[in-house]
Amino acid sequence: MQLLQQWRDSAVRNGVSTYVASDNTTYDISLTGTCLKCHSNKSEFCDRCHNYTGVAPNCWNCHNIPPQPNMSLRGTP
Amino acid sequence: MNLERRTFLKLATLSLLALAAKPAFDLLARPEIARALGLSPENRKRLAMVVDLKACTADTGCTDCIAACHKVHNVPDIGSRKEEIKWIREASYDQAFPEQENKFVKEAIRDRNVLLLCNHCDNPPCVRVCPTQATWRREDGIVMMDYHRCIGCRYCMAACPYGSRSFNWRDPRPYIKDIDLSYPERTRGVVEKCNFCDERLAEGKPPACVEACKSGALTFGEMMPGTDVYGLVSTNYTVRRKPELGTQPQVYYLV
Amino acid sequence: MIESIFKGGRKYWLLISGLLVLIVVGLIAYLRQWDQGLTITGLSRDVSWGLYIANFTFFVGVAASAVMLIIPYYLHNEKEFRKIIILGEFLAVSAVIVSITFVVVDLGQPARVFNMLLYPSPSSILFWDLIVLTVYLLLNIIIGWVTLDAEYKEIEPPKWIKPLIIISIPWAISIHTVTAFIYAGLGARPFWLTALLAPRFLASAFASGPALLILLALLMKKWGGFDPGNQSINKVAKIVAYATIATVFFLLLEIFTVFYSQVPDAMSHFQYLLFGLDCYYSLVPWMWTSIILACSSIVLLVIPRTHTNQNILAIACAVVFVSIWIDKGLGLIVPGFIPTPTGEIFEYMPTLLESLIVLGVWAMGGLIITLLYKVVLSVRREMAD
Repeated sequence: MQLLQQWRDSAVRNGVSTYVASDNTTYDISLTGTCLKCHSNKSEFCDRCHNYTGVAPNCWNCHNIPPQPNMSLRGTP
Repeated sequence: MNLERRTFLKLATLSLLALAAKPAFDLLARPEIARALGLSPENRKRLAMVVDLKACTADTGCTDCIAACHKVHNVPDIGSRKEEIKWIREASYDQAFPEQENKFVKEAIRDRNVLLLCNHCDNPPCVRVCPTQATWRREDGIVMMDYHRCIGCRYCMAACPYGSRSFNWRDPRPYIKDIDLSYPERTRGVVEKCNFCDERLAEGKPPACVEACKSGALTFGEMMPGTDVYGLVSTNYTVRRKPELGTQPQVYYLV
Repeated sequence: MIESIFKGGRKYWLLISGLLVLIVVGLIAYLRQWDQGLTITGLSRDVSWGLYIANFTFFVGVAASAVMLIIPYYLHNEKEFRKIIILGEFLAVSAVIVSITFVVVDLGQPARVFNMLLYPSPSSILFWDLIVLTVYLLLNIIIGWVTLDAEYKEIEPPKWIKPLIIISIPWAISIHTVTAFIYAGLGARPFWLTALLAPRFLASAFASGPALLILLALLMKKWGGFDPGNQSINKVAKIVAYATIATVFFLLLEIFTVFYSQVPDAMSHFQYLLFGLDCYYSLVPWMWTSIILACSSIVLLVIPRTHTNQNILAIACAVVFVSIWIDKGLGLIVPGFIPTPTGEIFEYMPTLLESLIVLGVWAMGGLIITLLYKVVLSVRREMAD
């Protein structure tokens, strides 16, 4: 969550939309385009914890959820 | 007055002054305050747009720029004047320049439709009034919106002299025909407006409206010697909307 | 002291129940707004502030009016205000809570309201308004409660209360000045861009607030056996009279400036308000009603024969209150947006749900006042026994 907020502030408020990780890989800061490109299964990545803790995130009021892959317990589409 | 109260008042005043020192310092560091006090340079970077009213074909029914902008940014079509959301819109000459109070306007532009959008002012009153800094002037001149932070108080809408801002009175999603998945929408309860396509500028592309205009009526760029916009404003007479308010709007109209 | 709110006669419980019903109705309407958004109101892209903000502005004024009792009693030692001053302080508490509630109800994202504290913005007048209103609320709660408690225990109030009371005097002026600054600093709205706005606000506040206070004091006399003393009532009535005269005078000043200068920027708004513009005239009857009511109340308040009759005084005060509510509410906020910056006219009409929410917030204020005044009544009764 902290990374998401950090990315949000960096991209929206500071205008820096590229994140450089400690191993020098660069990521384009985008919830739909980057985060969910790899962590494409929203119910595994987001809902599992948020449903359990009962904290509804309001990301999806604005941000788009990319087409969800077919459900498979071991993940990757 | 007895001594106790006097001492109390002295202590209270000193404490207030000490507490006020940091906020006062921060306040002076805010750009608009600094500029008002003559403390910052005038040669700041500013992005600007020039709208050529003679080239624009809006009065023949062309709405390419509006369609492009609203498509790329998932701007909803609510359908009623009451709740409409417009990042860029058309108006008559009298509506665009009401302060002119001119009943005898040059025929070539009198019946033209004028494109209205956020002027990305150099001295924006909307930025001054926002209680959460959900809107701010970026270094390059774009007046940005942070939809995460906006509390929907609509003070910025009251402060904008140009009617550039729209509010989401209801959830906009059902009113967007084809959602472009590469750009988010907004939620209800926040104010939105043109952002000079800052996401496209970051990729080196021009604003959507400029790209969509087939008659070349829209020119965009940094206002500095050598650019197209600079060339246009230095060789032509341009008007801006309500310049007397001191907002320093950066959308120039060629009349 | 506070346990007295649970003991009361039939009338008391009837009042409480009635207010609770209205509050629940307002809450249900607000749930609709929470669910669907501000689309349920009559607000629009052109008139983006309406009944909620109008009521916020008006009740900040009512809250500021407590100072009109504090000044004579604490600065000028006019002893006859002693009994009535607590009513003013508690009225201020209720009025501030009501006005802050109206702002929250007006927000598009109320859950994010703490962003105002997390990201302070000193260039925004709303930020300062939040600060001054909160401090004023705390001041009045503390001052009211401590002085009432001291009275109950038949001792002098503690010494540290005096500086707080002194601070509350300029602070009361500041809350309404800052509220006026919200509007008076906007170049975009020539109807509001006048230095006279803050004096207009203060004058109408010092008319409407004490008028409500007189009404409440007379009600307390009738229903609660609480006698504020005729001298203090008459003095407050004088304040209402002069403040109403000032309010009308300031309006005439505005009218002269805009119509003599013929500058369309500001004149068009007054034209819309007073005579209608381009066949739009929905506010015209309201505005003229307000003006006529204000003038007739001035007559009633100035003539000694009428204002010493407490029944007529009550009517005059009610008339002042309604007149200024119309003027400051509908006659100030809505015309600021009509005509629009592009010279167009889109009128505003509050919806039923919006009005029910407003009613609910008023009822909430009424409930707070009822409970606080009940405490005052029971303290005074015990003292009398």
